[in-house]
Amino acid sequence: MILDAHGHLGRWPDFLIPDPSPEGLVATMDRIGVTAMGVSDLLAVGPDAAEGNRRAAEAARRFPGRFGVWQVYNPHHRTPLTGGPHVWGVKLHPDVHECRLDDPLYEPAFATGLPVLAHGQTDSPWSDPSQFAVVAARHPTIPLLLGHAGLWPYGFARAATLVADHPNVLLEICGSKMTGRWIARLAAMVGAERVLFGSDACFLDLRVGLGRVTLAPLTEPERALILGGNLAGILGLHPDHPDFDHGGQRS
Amino acid sequence: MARFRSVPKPGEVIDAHRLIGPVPMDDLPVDPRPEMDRLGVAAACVTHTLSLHSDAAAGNEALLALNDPRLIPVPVVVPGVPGASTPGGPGEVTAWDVRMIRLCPKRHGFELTGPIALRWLAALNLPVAIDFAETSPGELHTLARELPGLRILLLNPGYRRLRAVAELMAEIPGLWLEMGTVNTQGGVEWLAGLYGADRLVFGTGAPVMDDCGPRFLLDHLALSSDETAAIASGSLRRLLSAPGSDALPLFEGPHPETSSPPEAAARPAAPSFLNPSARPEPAPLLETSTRPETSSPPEAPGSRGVR
Repeated sequence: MILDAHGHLGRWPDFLIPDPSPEGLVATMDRIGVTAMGVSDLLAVGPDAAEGNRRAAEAARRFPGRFGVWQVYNPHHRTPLTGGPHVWGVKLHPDVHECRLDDPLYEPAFATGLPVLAHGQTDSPWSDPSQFAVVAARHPTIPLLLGHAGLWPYGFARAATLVADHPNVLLEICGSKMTGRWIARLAAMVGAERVLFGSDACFLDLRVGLGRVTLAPLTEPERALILGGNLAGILGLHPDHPDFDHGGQRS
Repeated sequence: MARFRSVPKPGEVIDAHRLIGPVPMDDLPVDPRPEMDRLGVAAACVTHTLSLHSDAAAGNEALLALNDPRLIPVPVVVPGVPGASTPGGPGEVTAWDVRMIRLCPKRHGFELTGPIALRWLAALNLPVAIDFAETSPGELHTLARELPGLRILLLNPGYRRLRAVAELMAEIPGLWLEMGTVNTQGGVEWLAGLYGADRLVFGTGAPVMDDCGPRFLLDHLALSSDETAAIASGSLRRLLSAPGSDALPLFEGPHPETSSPPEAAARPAAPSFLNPSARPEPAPLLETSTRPETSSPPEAPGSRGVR
């Protein structure tokens, strides 16, 4: 069971995404064996979280078992978090929303008790990994996914060190500067049980993200944890559970 | 449901963009061959890191001493007035008998479309590899206009400027594109559909850039087998084969499950401080947490909130 912790649907203003559709993502997932992907709609990351969250839920309904939804919480708009059978957790993007991750404005997101995936960018005033340590200490029972593991190569090791003593923080490894070698390094530093596969597709290419883990110099047990075992544990998913459909996801 | 492969397909795959030698900002393998073997990459166009991070001439000297047919040397040329260039003139470049050169106009501080660079390139008639970060679309359009027969390999194009990259491919028939960083969903297929797979080449920029993801992508492109074979090596062969020149030898793809690291005897005969095989083994991975964090942010302004 391969679970992608970090995906998107839709368009983004900065550049061209040739295929931003859920159909295209599912076709690629089928080609390479990805069971399910947690997605937020890029409209939700941008100006309209409520409508973007609705779109993501609709995609999850259209493709049962293939998409989980990270509901975006915009702290300025106080986005309603509706929950639902497809919801994996809450997505925060401190850089786009220009609100520091450790700002109390995010408390409603943590109050849901759901896992939180947040963009994490080294040296960003909004989402530097040091802020993940602060928030993780505040909410030690909430799984907190450090998106991009700090984003820049010069910050990967620092991110791992900063959150090492906060076991509820997991390093999610998507990003254009990540390498298979760095994934192996991070697994060696914090343990493979705290590293999660994410692709950032459709923003980035799903195959590149999966290939980094598939061909990284890891042991097979480490690879299995990173590719899905860890996230399945966080989300309470098990491939043999009778409520799961073909994708191994709760339907 | 399709199953992913954990082992790359065997076959001829040539990486158009690899580095050999140490880099100052990380602890990375200095010899690309073990990783090439592991990932089923038969050969690679290589530039020595000394040419990028120290002295272009010293890097070229080490590179040209390698004498391994799997490593296709791409030395760095710095056009300039006498005393400011590497090497001394186009004649010395021709004497190297290489198939491609690399230019770094921003790093080495020369004008890519200045009169001297244009004269050198016209005299050399060799393919030129240029990192997108070292130039601009406008400069490349000017270069192609001034030297319409020039073959250009654009390295590290990324995904954020896909519109500008597509315009370059539309306007410059002699421009080939390294696909390893075309990392947005379906980007490689989109370019192949518009401009043909025969203008896309497999390349990674490893070990600084990732090679695992692009290698996996190559095996899982939604293209025909002929198109994929072109990207794997055919397009690069065409780029590197000037009319009348010797054909590039066929590289049998090492299967990652059966190949072994290259014999020490086949490794470079360069001076020991330039010789990757003479370097000590890399430090354990855990020690990476103590390395200096002095790298500059790799993405341009405007990258806030993005990947």
